[in-house]
Amino acid sequence: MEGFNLLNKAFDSRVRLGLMSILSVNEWISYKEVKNLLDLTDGNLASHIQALEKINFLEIKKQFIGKKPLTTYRITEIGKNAFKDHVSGLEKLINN
Amino acid sequence: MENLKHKKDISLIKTLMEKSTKFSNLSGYGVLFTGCLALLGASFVYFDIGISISEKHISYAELINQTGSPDTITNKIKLLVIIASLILISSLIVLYLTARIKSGKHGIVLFNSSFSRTLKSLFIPVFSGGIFCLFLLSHNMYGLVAPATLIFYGLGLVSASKSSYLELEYLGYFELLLGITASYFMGSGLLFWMIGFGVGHIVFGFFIHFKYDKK
Repeated sequence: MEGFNLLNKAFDSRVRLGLMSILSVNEWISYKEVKNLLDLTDGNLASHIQALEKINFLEIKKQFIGKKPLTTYRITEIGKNAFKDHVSGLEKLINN
Repeated sequence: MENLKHKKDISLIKTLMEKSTKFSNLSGYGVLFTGCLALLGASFVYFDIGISISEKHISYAELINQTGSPDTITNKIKLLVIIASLILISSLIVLYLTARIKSGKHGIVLFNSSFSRTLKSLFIPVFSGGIFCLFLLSHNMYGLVAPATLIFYGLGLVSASKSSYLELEYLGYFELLLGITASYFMGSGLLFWMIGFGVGHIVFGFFIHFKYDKK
C-alpha cells in the first residue's frame, strides 16, 4: 500500500513519535519540559533520547546555568526530514 | 486495525505540537474577573464615588480639561494611579492563580517556554506603554493616558496571540481600534477604557471559558 514505504521504524514507539513531534515545532527544549509534556519517568525517556541521538535525529546540548546543569535538545535536518516523511506516510495510509 | 493506529499517531502528533508551542493555561474565568475589576475600578474614577484621597475631588472630564485647581488635579491623579495599580496587581494575581489551577487540571506545566514567550511578547509593548503613560502624566497630558494604555495593550495582545490563543489577536485589534478612536474623543477616554478593559475582557473571558475550558 502506498505510504508504507515512507514510514520510519524509529517512530514505531509512541514515546519517540511524541518526542519528535515536540522537537519538530520547537527550538532548543529542555529535558524537564519534554518529560512533563510526554508525562514520562526519567529512565524511560532517557533511553529513547539516546536511541534517537544515535541515528542523528536529534542533537543534545549540555550546559550550566549558574551551578545547575541544563540539558536541551534540538531536532537535526536528518531528523526533520525523516519525521516529515513519516507524517506524510501516515496521512497517505489514513486517506487510502 | 492498522488504520486506527495511524489515526491515533497523527492525533498524538497534533496534540503534542499544539501543547508544546501554545500557552493555553489562560483561564476564561480569570479573564472575566479582570474585566469586572477594571469596570469596578474605572467606575470609582469615572463617577468619583466612594473613595477620595481628600475632600476636594473633581470628575474625569474636569481633569481632562484641567478646569480644576492644581491641588484637586494632583489628588485626582494620585487616585487614578492608585486605582490603576490596584487593578493591575490584583488582575495579575487572579490570572496567575486561575492559570495555575487550570494547568494543574490539564496536566500542563505552567512555566514552559510558551508561557515565557507569551509574557515577553505581551509585556514588551505593555511595559514600554506604561512608562510612556507615566511621562504623559508628568507632562500633564492626562487625556491621552487611557487611549495610550488601550493602544499599547492591543499591540501586546496581537503579538502574544502568536504563542497563545489565536483569538487574542482579535481582542488586540478591538483594543487598538478603541484606543485610536479614544485618542480622537479625548474627553471620553475613560469610557473607552471601560469598554476595552472591562467589557472586552468579560466577553473574551466567556468566550475562552466556553470554547476551551469547558471540555
